Parts: sequence; C-alpha cells; structure tokens
Amino acid sequence: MKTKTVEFNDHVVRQFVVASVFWGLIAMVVGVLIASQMAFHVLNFDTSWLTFGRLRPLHTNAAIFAFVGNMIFAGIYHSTQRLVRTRLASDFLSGLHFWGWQAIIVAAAITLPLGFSRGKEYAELIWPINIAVVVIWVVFAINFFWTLAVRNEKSLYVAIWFYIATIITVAMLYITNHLQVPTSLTHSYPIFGGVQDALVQWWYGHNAVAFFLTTPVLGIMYYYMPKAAERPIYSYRLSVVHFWSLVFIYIWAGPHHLLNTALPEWLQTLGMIFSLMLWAPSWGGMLNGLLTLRGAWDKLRTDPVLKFLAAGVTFYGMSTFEGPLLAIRSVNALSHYTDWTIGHVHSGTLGWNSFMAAGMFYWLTPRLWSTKLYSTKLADIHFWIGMVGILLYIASMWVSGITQGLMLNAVTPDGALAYPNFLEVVNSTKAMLHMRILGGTLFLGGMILMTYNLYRTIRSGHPATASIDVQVPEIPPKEGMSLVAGFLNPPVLYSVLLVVFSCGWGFLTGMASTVSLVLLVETAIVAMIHLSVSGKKWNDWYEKLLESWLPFTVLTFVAVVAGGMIQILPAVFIKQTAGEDAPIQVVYTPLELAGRDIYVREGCYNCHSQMIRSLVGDVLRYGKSGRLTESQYDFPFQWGSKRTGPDVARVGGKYPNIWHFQHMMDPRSTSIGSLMPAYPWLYKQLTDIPALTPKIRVLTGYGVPFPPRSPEEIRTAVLDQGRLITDDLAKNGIKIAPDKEIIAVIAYLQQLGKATPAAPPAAPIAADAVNQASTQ
Amino acid sequence: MFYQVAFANWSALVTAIAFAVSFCVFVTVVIGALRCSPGKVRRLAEMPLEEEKTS
Repeated sequence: MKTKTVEFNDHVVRQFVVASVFWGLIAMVVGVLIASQMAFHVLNFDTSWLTFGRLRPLHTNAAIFAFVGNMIFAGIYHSTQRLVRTRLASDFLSGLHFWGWQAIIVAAAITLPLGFSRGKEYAELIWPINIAVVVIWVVFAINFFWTLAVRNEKSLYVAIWFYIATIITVAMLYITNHLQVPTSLTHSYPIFGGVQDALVQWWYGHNAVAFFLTTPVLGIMYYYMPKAAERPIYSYRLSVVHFWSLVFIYIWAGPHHLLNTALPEWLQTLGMIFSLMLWAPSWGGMLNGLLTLRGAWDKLRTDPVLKFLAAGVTFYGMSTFEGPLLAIRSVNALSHYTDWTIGHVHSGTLGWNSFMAAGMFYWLTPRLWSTKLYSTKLADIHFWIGMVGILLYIASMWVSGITQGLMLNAVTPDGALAYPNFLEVVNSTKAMLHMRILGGTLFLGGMILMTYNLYRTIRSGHPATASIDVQVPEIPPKEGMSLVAGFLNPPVLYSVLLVVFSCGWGFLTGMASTVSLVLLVETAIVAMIHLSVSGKKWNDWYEKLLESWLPFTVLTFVAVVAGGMIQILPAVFIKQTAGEDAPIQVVYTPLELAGRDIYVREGCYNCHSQMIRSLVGDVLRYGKSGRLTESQYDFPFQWGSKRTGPDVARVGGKYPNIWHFQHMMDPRSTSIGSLMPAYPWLYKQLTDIPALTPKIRVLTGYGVPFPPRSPEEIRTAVLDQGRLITDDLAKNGIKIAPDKEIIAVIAYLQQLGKATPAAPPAAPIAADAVNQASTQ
Repeated sequence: MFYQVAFANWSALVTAIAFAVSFCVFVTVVIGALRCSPGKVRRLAEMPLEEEKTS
C-alpha cells in the first residue's frame, strides 16, 4: 500500500453553484411575472415573446433544468469525489458538461419566448437542443461512471446509488419522449400521437419529477444531512429500502396524470395504486432524514443550513403525501385541471428543491471559498420569508383549486350545472391569484437575499483546494463483481426461477399450471433452506454488489425498464378500445394544421385542455366525454393539464368566426373577466404555407391519411379555406387577408370536436392507424 | 382454492411480467440489504463524515 494525496476538482462545483443561483433567480423572476399575468392580463403587454403561453415553459424549464439541474450537478460532483475518494475522472469532460449545459439553457431562454416549442410540458425544447441535451448528459454519465471506475473506495454509499438511478433513468425517459422527426431546423413532430403521446409524455413528465427533482436531491440529502448534523444517517438499512422502493414504484405511477380521461381504465387504476404505494418509501426516506438530526435538534435554532435541510425534507414528506392523495381517482376528479395541482408542484419545487438547494449552498459556499458565511442573520431572514412565501403560495392555490373543482363539478338538484359560466369560477378565485403573487414575491425576495449573502461570502474568501490522503494498493484491485457474476448467483437465480414459475402458474393452464405451482413452492422452500444454511454467501453477494457499479447499474436499469414497459408497450395494443361507437377524428386540412401548429407555438395548452373527462361536470359543460380515436392524428397530443380557461375539445362550431376573431384580438370584448392575453400579432403575421409541405409529408409517414397534394395544391387549399372564413368575417364588416395567422387559428378551432360518426365495428381502420403511427 | 388468472389481452400480460421482474429485483436486493453485516452498515453510514484537508 502507498499513500497518495487526492486533490478534488472543486472548480466545476463552484461553477455549478454560481450558475444554479443565477438561473434560480431568473426562473423565479419569470415565475412572479407569469403569476402576475394570471391576475393582471395587461402584463402580457400584447407582445408575443412576453405572453403567458410562451413564458410559462420558460419558467418551468428554467426552474427544473437550469436551477435544480445546476444544483444537482454541483452536489453530485462535490459529494461523489468525497464518497469515492478520488478526483473527477476528467477535467475536460467536467468543463464540457458545465459549459454545454449553460449553452443549452441560453438556447432555451432564447427559443422558448420566440415560440419555438414542441408543445409538450417540460419537453418544449426544439430538436436541435434535445440532441445537445442528450450529448451533454452522455458527457456527464461518462465522467461520473469513469470516476466510479477509478475510485479509491470500494463500497458505494447510498447517495451514489441515487445518482446512478438518476443518470440512467433520465436518459431513458428523455430519449423516449423526444423521439421525433424534424420538418425544419426549428420544428418537428413527435413520433407518438394521441393517447400514445399522452402516455409517453406523462411517463416522462411524472418521472422527470421523480428522477430529476427527487432522486438526485435525495442523494444530496443522504450526504449533506449527515455532514451538516455531524452524525451518520439514522438508518442505513432504511435508506437502502427507500432507494429500491422508489426505483421499483415511481416509474409505474405516470398514468395518474390521466385519470378520468379516455385512457384505458386498468392503466388508470395501475397508476393510482402505484402512486398510493409511494407513500411508504417516501415517508420512510423523510423520517430517515429528519431522525438523522436526533440529538442535534437544538442546532436548528442557530444553524441556517440545518434549518433549510430539515424544512426541505419536511416539505418532501408533505408533497409526497399530497401527490398520492391527488392520484386517488375521486380526489383527482376534484383537483385535476385546477390550481390545486399548481400548489402541489410548488410545495415540491419551492419547499423541497429550493430549500434543499439553499441548505446545500449555505453549507458548501464557505467551504468552497475557504471562508465563513457572510451573514447567518441574512440566511435566517431568507428562511423565514421563504417559508411564509411558500405557505402563502400553496395555501392560496389549495383554496383556489378546491374552489374551482367544487364549482366546476357542482350540479343542481335538477341535473344542470350550478355554475354554467366558466368565467364565474375564474372570477371567484381572483383574490387567491393575488395572494399567490405575494407568496411568490416573498420567496423571490429570499432568493435575492441568498444571492447577496453568497456573493459577499465569495468576495471575502478565495477558491479553496480540498484534498485527502488515500491508501492505494500497489496493484489496483479488481472490481468487486463482474457483470456476469452479478447475475449468476443464488439470490438472483432463485428470484428468476420464482418469477418464471409464478408466470407459469398464472398464465398456463391445466397440468402445466399445476406443475408450475408445485415448482414455485419447492423453489421457495429450497431458497429459504439455502439462505438459512449458507446465509453468509448471500451477504457476500450483496456486499460485492455494493462494490460493483456495473452490475448495480444494470440491476437498477432492469427495474426501471420493467416499470417503463407498462406504459409504452400497452399503447401499441390499444386498438380494441376503438369500440363500435367511437367517433373517428377528421384529418386536418392544411389550413387547420397550420392553425394547430400556431396553437402549439403560443402555448395554448398551458391554459386549455382538449380532453373531456368522464365526469358529470365535464360532460354537462363540454359535451360527450373524449374518446381515444378523437385525437389519434394529434402530433403532439394537446390534452393539457390545467384549465385556466375552458376545455376546447369540442369548441368547433360553438361560436361564429367573428366571435373567435374578436376574442383573440381582445378576450374581454367577448368574455368579461377573462384572464386570457390578446394575440394582436396573429392579425399581422402570415401563415407559413411552404412549411406545410414537409409537415404533411412527415405526418403522412406516421400514417395520417392526408390526401396527396403538391405544394401548389396545399397553397390553394389554404387560401380557399381561408377565403371562406374571410368572406364570413366580411359580412360583419371585417376585412382581412386569408393568409393571416388568425385565419388559420380560427379554422383549427372551428374544426375541434368535428369527428365522423362511429366506425363500423368490423373495420377499426383508425385504430390501425394509431398503431402504425406509434411504430413508425 | 386458486383461480386461474385470465388475461384478456397482451396489455395485462405485459403488466404482470413487468411487475414480476421489477418486484424480483426489489425483493432480492432488499433482502440482501437487510442481511448486510452490522460492521459494513456502520462503515457505510459513516462515509459522509470523513474529513478532508483544505488550503
């Protein structure tokens, strides 16, 4: 053995800390602005790049990928080096990771306000940026796993497991949800459409929360909580159960975002059950974090780091209690599409993510710059105004959301809607929108204080160089266990046999089923005897697994892929749901398609859903509940997740063209009290007719039955249909050219809900098209 | 005593197999973790507390 001094690469950690604080401020400034736009529509300034529909994606992407993203990279790089007792494998890759990620954020900050959007929540960025994200994520993965491969510590601490799960699962989710075919440099269509797209999107959307906002932050909790409390984690065994339970359960819960929709009921139930199962591991993890403070509770009064970490973990417990609650179908009927969901999301991002980030930054910054925190008092003030801000925010959204849910679902004794005018509901919750602005502003104030405090701290110190002495064997030891040995061992083999025999018992019939049952029982007995006789060997396997990152990573991957299959594969087999009475979506005309893409570009899905749920209130208000085949040609799907305005799935033909024309110009002229911004630029900009040719070509490739048309025929079709609308508008004295964008939007809105009558039972053509599209 | 599980379609089959596979991973690893030796557990739990030199 020889002693070697390992000097850590903290330069990149410092870079990520500064970037996280900076982008966190930007995300929250935009957040306060869009919260204000919801209450005061004039703050949209009638300007395209400042309007709510474009800024809301900027806010969510900045909060998730810029603020929390940079924070987790800082925490992962700092803690991993210490836990595996080695320097990051490559300074070049570390630098590339940092600068590449910042370039992606800048590209997002430019493109999103300009209206370049894929129209899927938290996945709005356009395809060239998607490719950059994948490349940089791979750089991160190489750097991380390479560091593990050259480590000087055999065992892998539980935080490292959470990081591994994050890296592989986010890669899987991101790539799957961003499979797309470009139609131009800035536009593409996802390869999934309709219900398939909805499933993939919420598999991604839910697990982005799970594996980007939760698992890496839990890893950070398991490292920094003991560090700050100066005592080991309360129960290491519980942390292991916490990890595997989350990996096992989380990935299955995505369908709870689509409850009461046209999604097959068994899939909704599955999502609900797995969501409820999340209660146990989440609270186990929360208690493990809080109980780490045993004997150190008094420090909470004086140490701002522990204050933030303890409050952050408490919010983790609260939001992971609320999440499964909202996933119960009957609760979801009340909460979905309302502000309650917004409050839930913010209790997670503000309470859990932001407070954990603040705790980590207050602990890290003095150490990274070899100094003391500039002001503990300021950090305390930050904590308290942040806490009051969060509570005001989520309480107002609870009140607002429950009010919306109750009013929108209320029915009179004679079976009519109690509040038929949607605006009545909007107006009843305006006070809560003002309270949200106050809460958000207070939280932003806390962030500004933290920025100032950290800035002064950094100014008072200098970049520190941290190192440790490690004992290194003369001959590097081999990895604890090879990939093959990781799977060819008694515990895994017994488990595989038990699964095989269970499947045989369940799926086979007659004698084969009985034999499988007998073998199942026998294998279980043999496994138990083997375990009790040679228990140490089982432990050896597990302890070697802790020292072997590759088998461990593969095992985690197997667990998440198995859970992922459940949401992706069934979508391929969904054609039987196109029952005999299912209406079939009419293929868009070129003008309607152009209008749809403008609808996506303006982010209308942020406030309007296109899915009428199978609930009394929905059906009475909007019409017959939505069917899968009514959105089968929608690439991307636009079912939405929030109703600041009413559902528009069947708005076609409900109002005359002149109503839409005036509504988009000045929403208050037709809908008194509306929160909607005006869209004056749609009356000036021309519909991009040449872009329709490649778009129709791509969609035809997906199986959408567009009639064959040359580019000239497409132009003619656009102008001909446009003239029908402009002629109608002319009757009301309005003169406008048929190639203006507003005409395309009107054409699209008037088409919504127009479906052909039920398909003959023997010819489920539309469902075949769905399958064909999903397999292209 | 036992009823044959009847699967109406491939979706249910995929669900059952996916559940079985991930449950298998879960049970195997959790049993291993719970039987991990106390010395090993103590050492792992104290890993974040190791000190470093700063200049």
